[in-house]
Amino acid sequence: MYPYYESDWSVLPPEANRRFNPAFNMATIKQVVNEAIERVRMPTPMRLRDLIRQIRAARTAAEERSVVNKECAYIRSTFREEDSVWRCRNIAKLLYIHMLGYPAHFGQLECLKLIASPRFTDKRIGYLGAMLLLDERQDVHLLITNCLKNDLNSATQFVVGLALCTLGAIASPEMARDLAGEIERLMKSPNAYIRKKAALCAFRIIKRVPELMEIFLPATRSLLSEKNHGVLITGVTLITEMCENSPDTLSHFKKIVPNLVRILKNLILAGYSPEHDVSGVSDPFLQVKILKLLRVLGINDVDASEAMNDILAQVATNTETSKNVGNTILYETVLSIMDIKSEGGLRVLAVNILGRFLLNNDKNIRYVALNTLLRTVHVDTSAVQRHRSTILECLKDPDVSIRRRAMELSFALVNAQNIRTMMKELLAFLEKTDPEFKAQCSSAIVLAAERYAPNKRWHLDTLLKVLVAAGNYVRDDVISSTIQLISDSSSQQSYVSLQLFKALSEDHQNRQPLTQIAVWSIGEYGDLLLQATPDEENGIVPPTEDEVIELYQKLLWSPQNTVTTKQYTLMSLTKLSTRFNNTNNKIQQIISSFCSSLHVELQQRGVEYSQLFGKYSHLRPPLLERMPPMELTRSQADNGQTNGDVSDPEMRSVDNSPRHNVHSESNALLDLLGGTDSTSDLDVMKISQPVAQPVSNTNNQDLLDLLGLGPISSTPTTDTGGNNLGLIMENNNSNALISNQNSNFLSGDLFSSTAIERNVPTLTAYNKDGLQIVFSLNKIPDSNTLSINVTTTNNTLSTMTDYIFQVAVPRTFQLQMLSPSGTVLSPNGNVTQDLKVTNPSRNSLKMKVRLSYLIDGNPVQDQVEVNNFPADIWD
Amino acid sequence: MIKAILVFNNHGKPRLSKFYQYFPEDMQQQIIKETFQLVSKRDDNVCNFLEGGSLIGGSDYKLIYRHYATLYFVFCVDSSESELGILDLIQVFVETLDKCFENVCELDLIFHVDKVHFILNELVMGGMVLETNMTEILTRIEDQNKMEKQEVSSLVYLIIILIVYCLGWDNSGSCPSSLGRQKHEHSPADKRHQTPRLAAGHQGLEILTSNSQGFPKPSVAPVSPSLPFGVSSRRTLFC
Repeated sequence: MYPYYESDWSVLPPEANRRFNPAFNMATIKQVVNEAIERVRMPTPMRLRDLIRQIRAARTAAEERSVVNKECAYIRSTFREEDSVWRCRNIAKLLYIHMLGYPAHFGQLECLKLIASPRFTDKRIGYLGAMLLLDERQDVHLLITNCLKNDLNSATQFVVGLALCTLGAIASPEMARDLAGEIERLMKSPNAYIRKKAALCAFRIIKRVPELMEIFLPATRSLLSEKNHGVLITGVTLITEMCENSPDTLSHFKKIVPNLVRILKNLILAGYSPEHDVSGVSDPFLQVKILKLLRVLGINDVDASEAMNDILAQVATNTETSKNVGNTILYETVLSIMDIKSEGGLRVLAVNILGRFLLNNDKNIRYVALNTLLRTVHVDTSAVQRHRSTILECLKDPDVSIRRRAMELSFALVNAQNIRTMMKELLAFLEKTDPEFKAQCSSAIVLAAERYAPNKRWHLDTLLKVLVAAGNYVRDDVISSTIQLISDSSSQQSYVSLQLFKALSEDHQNRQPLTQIAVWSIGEYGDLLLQATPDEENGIVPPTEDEVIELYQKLLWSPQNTVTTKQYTLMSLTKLSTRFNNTNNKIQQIISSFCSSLHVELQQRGVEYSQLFGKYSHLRPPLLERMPPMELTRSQADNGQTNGDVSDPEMRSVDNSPRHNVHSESNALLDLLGGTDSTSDLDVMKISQPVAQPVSNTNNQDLLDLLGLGPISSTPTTDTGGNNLGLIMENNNSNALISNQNSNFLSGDLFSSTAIERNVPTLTAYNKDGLQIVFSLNKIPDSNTLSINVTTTNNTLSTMTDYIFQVAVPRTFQLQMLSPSGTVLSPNGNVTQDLKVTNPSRNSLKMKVRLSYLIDGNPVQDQVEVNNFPADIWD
Repeated sequence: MIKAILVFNNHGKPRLSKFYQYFPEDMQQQIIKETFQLVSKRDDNVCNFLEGGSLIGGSDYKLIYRHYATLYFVFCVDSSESELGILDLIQVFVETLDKCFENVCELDLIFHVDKVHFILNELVMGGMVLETNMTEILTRIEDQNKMEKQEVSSLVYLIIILIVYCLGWDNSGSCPSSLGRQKHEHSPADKRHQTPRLAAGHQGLEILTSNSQGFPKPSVAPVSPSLPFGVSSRRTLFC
């Protein structure tokens, strides 16, 4: 029998395609021959191999481009001519060109034509091209659905295989819906080759359209009773995906734990089988997948965990670890033991395995050990603490990946007992590490020091070392918090300014944060600096006035310092004029030289400050008096938390709204309230731009600090100098003037300073995922207006950006929102915003709150209803 | 899930790229470039995992790679995959290629990209592991190649018979051949001189696997300096 009688081998176009057929007579043979002659007569396109040769022979990139462009042009022209004979070869060339990075999208339709061809060679290339060139963003991909459907029903297993493979790679939701039925049928096919591919197709379909999970459930269950490892591995993958997708399915599949245990046991106990053996271990891939599924099934489930304990112990003890594959399985086992509710003994075993991993010579194993320890450190800190010295050792590893993991883990291990030793190591690490780590590492050190510092002196020393070691990589919030800390610890001020002076005079090249903090504290505590007790240990003696001024001159004329730093320096220098006795002339000279500075900011300061040396010199001492100790902003965050604790549990129940309506339309906010109010027309206000206003209490403080506008209770300012001071205050905010009688203006409550005396009721409106929102309510007397100060605190370790807070109230209320103090929440930082709600009809207040922010680049949106305002609030 | 599988040589020239998540064409090239820059600057004695690529997936994403002679095999995966498991998978992939091409080298990958894709499609599908049994993969590939060959040979057969019989056509013209079938177009000797083998020298995979860790150190195989490397290195640079 000649091969061309078989349908699958047919070389003829579909309309001429016939099986063995008595009509295969001389006439048709002649027709075929004519076609064949046509093929031979036409100019043959270049073969793929020759194209690759030509491209390789190109000596410059331009030459390569010209070869490719020429060939692309040729391929395009053949596509236009509907030349079907060489299509397959042309697409193959196009795919090669695509890989090199040239545009190849014009081949998409040709791929579809190849797929429709009856020849297997054509189909193979066509499907390959479809996988590489098509995507669901283009409408063309829907045209493939019908071809896929036909091929899924083909009698040849490889054609079905190709179709499944393509569907598994590019299925879109529409395609998934159309073809789910076919896939379900193929999952029950007697052919293992098809079954395993169908299982992964189902995986893709469920990923795209989770609702379709139902129809696959029965077929999936039977995949586990399979002998073929390919089917088993894909089946386990599919079940894992289903379980992670829906809790219902998870409980449905709890039943299969014994089956999985049995399969795993067979794998371990089975002798050598050449097919699945990978360096002496029987199918590690399947073992890993099963261990992972066991983990998913065993989380928070005592019974399931109980059933797994034995087998996990067996795997952990029986696996041979001289090869990478053995370690792969052990690694997965440890992860499973740590995640499920396993026995204590088993956990000890797991941590010991990790300890062994840490000492392993193979860097890969060390890396995964650190990774796993990082995941388990929250579960069992003491176990991980035992490996502390090894982990610290890893900080010195030449490998970036290991160093990064070791750093994260070290910070997780810091506590009050070991902070001194850990910090020594971490500071040494910070000094030597690559720039990419410096910002993260310095912030983490600052946070850890803040939490566990044994005393203030140590804390300040650590901060100083961070500033020196991390240079310009220190984040801005460190500057303000350090300044606050210095101002708050009065006993250490002379010591700190001496140390800072030392650091500054040794090395003032391009460490802006250090310079800024140093000049601030020298300016503020200049007199203390001169009288500081010498530091015998390090041989630091207090400088003379001239030495200080000389240093300032250097700073001011150094081209490396930024304008902001120079502004700090100028301000500080002005302050020094009241702290120092003998160098006033010199200071005045320096400042007046800035009257003609090219930079407008510096010039303005120069002019303003020189006024203080001339006509208004009597104002200078009171203006530049020392600042009162600043409260730490962080402590405000703590207050917020305690406030939250005081409020009754019902108030917190508002937090329990489900989180998955993250992407709800903004109208949802309106609809929700519409239910309670017949007229659903609401005032929704959205303020997304932060406006620098003194309502904030953190960022702008620096500015106020700079000017030294402490509690200027000396009244001449307001009595005589309203106009005169205008100059000084011009680029400050006039609110500072008004508030300077109020000594606690730093607490930020400028807005309702009159009502602050009252016992302010607070309520926690929101507390989830480390974001806490506290309302402090203030009824403005003799009106129907309630002023709400909203404090949002970020209790996570990551920075939240683009924070937007929106509020809606029923229509009977009037809502006025002031600008927030910012849109960025640094770890433990906060943002405040004031709302005013007017309630003419004295209804009980309800509020919808919607918020959105970006954390680690991921958008988060949520909304809650706040209806637990105290009833007596309007009285 | 595996997000992408990239193979490129020591100069960053792509030899295989397969994305299981959609990226526009120019983005794909950027990803390859960035990945090459990240991976190529790493020593051979550091670990095979790398974080910090900014283009795919953000923080939940890792590069896991092995370096064989002149080629880097890079798998970009998310956190749901076991790092060590993927290393094993790369090894299976390379060993399969080695068995399929008999002593695989970079040139094989260059001239038979389609074949490499077909093998990969039997190993990984839609970003998930499909089959890890090498023998099974090879039989399936062989079967499919046979199908192609039969199609071609039947066509050639038909043409020759009919042409000779009916028209007496001179069949010296070239016949449509299947893609990448003629592996021996570039002679084996030629191949050996141009590019160092992935597996070290003529001992091939033996050396790969007899290493104490079971898998080869991802190191540049001992390319003997006596190879006529001058010409060929310039050629590989531009292709």
